[in-house]
Amino acid sequence: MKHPLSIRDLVNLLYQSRDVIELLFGSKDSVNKAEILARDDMSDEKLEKLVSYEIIHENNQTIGLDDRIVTFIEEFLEIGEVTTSFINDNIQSLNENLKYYRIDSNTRFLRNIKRSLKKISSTTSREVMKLHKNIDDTYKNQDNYLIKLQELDKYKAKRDDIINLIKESEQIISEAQGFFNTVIDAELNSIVSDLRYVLVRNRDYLSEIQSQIIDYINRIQYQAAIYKKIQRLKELKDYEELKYKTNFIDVVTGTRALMFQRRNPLKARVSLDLLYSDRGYTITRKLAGKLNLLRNHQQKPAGRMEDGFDANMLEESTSLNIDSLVEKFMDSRSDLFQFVINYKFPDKVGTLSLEKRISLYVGITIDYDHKLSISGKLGKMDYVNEKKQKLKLGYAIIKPARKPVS
Amino acid sequence: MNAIPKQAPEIFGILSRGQFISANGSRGKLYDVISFEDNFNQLRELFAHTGYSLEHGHNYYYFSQSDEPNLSIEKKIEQFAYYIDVMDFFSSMDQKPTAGTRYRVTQIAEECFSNERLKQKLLALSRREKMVDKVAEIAGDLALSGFFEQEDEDTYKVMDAIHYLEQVITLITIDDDGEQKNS
Repeated sequence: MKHPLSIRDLVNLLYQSRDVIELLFGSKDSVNKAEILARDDMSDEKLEKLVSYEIIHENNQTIGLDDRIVTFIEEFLEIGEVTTSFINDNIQSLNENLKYYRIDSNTRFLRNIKRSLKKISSTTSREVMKLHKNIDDTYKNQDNYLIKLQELDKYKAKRDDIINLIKESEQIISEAQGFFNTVIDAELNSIVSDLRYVLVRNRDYLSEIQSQIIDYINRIQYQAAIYKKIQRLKELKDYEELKYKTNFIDVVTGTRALMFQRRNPLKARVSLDLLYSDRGYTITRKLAGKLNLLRNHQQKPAGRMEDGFDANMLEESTSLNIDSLVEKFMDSRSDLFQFVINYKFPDKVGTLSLEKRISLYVGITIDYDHKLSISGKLGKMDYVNEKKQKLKLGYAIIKPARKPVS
Repeated sequence: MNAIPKQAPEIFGILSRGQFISANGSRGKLYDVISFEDNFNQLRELFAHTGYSLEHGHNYYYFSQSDEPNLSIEKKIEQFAYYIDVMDFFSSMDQKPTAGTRYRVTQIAEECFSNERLKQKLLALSRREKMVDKVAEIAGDLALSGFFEQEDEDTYKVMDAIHYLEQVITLITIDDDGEQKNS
């Protein structure tokens, strides 16, 4: 039993059960009745009501949305399958109404003509958009390549259909152009020119889509061929026939890419100059810290040296100013040994031990022998060493060499 | 003539390790640098002095070397045989390895559990114990050669360089022996 339903009632009904309708639309396949009844917003009565108004169908404990509702939602949201029938229907009705209007210039027919024209314009655009969306979707999301190919083929056929319908529409319009001109109606003219523009635009769009479909199909076929080939090669490889039945070896030998060569990465040595620099020092220090090399070396680099730390060294060099000592000796008349032993060195040098004086004597004889005259005579001296032993010391008597009288 | 791009050392570093620079990877910027104006020819000339030749594929660059010792030829063949196995594995899956495809290691492992044929292939490819580890090893291998790129711990993206493998496979001709043909 079907109650008459006003638009208002229908919209209200749909609104009240919007969640269920969304659910049912989302899950295209039917939903179990128990699942629907388990929802908070659904009761047996409500379900009964919806079924009685044929908004949903109940069949064998499963519930599905009525086809008309599904189509309505799909149509309106421009989703779902591409159908050319809508365009076709409108073209038929346009043709009929044109015929009627020619017989009877009733504004009712004119209104219908306008409506058909508008509808052709909107449905064509919509179907073309849908077509594009579906093609993209199929190419990107369809997993099985065979189904993908067939679907794309199907869309290719659909595209041809739409193109034909566009051509048909264009022909009808151009044939009726003379008639349109006789009808004085500003709206009709603007609708017609709009439609012409839309048709042309959609035709361009469709040729773009066409090349895209072909591109997709080619790519899929190319890919599919490659995958088949890979699997075939693998098969041959498993049978150890790869080398004999294919030119595998030649091809791979012919490839020049570096990737097949395991190579040693380029190794550069550390620049020594860098290590001497401050940066090098910080780097080596960091590294040593990482390797725990410094665990026994807590000391830091020595601090700044005190001023005059090398004063002692300076003093030493004054004490050993042998040059001036020799000069003085040259002016004296004594022999070198006695001179060195008895020489009173400046106070800051301090007293020199006998041993030191003797080594000084030996040093002078070696370094300044060209200024000295070694007579060959020996002198003798007694002295007491640190261990209180009496010792006799023999030494060569050396005198300053007299300058050759020129 | 423009100056040689300043990324040249970086490019050389990557390519000389036998890797690829793909347009759709994280090195896409370097790809753009090489493709920019006359840079390709300049770099090609520059790198020619090092004995490597900069080559251009479909959306990727790589180095080639013309003279090579015999020993490496054997290795090459061995390695490509491995790639046949790997490509066979991936092309047996629902999702094919085309440039831009994203694979999740866990997802592949999951698929292998339910597909006995894939499972067998995978078992032959890696000796790791767990399925996930096996897949990760293979994917890591491909990533090392520049065919894949790791996006996060689990996700690998197929690089444009995969075209290189496809190209080589296309070059191979199979003798028509009247045996079962897959076409």
